[in-house]
Amino acid sequence: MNWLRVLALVLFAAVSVPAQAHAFLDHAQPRVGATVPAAPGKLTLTFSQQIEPAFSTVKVTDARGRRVDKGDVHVDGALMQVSLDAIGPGDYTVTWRVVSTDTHVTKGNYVFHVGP
Amino acid sequence: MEVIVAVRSIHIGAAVLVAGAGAFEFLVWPRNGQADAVRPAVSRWLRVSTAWALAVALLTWAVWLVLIAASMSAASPSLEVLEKVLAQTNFGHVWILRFSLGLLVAIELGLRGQRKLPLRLLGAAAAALFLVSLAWAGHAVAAQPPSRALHLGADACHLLGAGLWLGALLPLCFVLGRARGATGQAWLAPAAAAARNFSTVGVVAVLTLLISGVANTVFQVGSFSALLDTAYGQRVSAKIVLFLAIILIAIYNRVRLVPRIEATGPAVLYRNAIVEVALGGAIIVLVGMLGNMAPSSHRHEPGMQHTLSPWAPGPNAASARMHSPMA
Repeated sequence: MNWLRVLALVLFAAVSVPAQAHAFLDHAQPRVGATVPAAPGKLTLTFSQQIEPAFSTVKVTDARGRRVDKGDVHVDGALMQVSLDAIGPGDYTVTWRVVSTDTHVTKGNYVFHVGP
Repeated sequence: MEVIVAVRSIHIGAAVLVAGAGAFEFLVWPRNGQADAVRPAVSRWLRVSTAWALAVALLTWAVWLVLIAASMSAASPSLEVLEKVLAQTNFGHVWILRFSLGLLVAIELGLRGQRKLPLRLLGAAAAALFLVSLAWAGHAVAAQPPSRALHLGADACHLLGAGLWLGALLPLCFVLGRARGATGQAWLAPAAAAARNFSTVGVVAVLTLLISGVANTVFQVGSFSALLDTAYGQRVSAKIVLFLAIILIAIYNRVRLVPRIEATGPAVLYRNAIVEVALGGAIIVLVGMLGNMAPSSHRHEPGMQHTLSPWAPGPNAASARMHSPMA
């Protein structure tokens, strides 16, 4: 039957698609790749969707891999904030993993620079 | 196909059947005397098929929870993780609510022999809510206010329309199937009345599906070009094509077959209804897939990040890294 062939084609075209991310990083402060003259007191990430506080994490590490955030992650809707230690000049890597309220997991990282 | 997609699809299909049985009983199946002779057989079939559909729905709902817990925690879903998901996440709260609604439907099924109308209505309402509340486990719930309520409303209406139409179509297939052939005389008049009633219910369901479907497409696909250019949009397009195919069959049924069913018999209508159910099943598989994909309206164009190391006078290594989105 023709409709069966159409259906088989539709399903065949669809089955190979992997799960994709949902809550994307919309903007950040300090911004992705930015150079900031003074050490920020906190990091703010804003995602494209609301996220789950219970399963959403972020950490900030210096060039040696030492953690420089205080671990006091606060989530409000699509906003995620964490306080930072008194950091000096250098490169810092932000690594995040969040779960959107529709249960999908996304993760990523970026670097910002403190200094002139 | 990923396990979560299969679980989603089977669960949605089962929930549609659970809700559709109530819609068939109250909106499609004739309540007058002509159906009395076969009413016990129909009631029995509805009860058994609803029980099976509900069992499948609750089982897949439990598996869905375990899969989501594993995905959220990136670990084996221990009891501690399951408890955290149930207590501290939106999905967990929806899971508890829907599981409770499922249990309510199960209790009503167990008491159905008592034929108390308020209890039946309560069971049908719980079954409808069991289906509609799926909206709170999908993409719509992650939308940002103030449009979040609109997303959820459109999704809920879409699910309700599917339950009304596809869910009530399977019991209609059963009735039409029984009305075929020489032994189906007692079934023919009530089957014809049910087909006429279903045509009316179908118009309401199709309009609901159409309006909510357009809203969902605008919300989740974002643009006409994304319907063809993105993987998500292509599957939505396939869903629309299948939906239009069902509508064409339904229009043919309503205009040509239903008015003459008592003269020509239900064989062709029965065959067409089976084809509609099969196409509806394919749509549900696509819905299961869409639930696991990023809607094209959520996609952002990738940006580029430049870094210099060591970021000091002298030689530096430059690198560029694509990321999504511009942050």
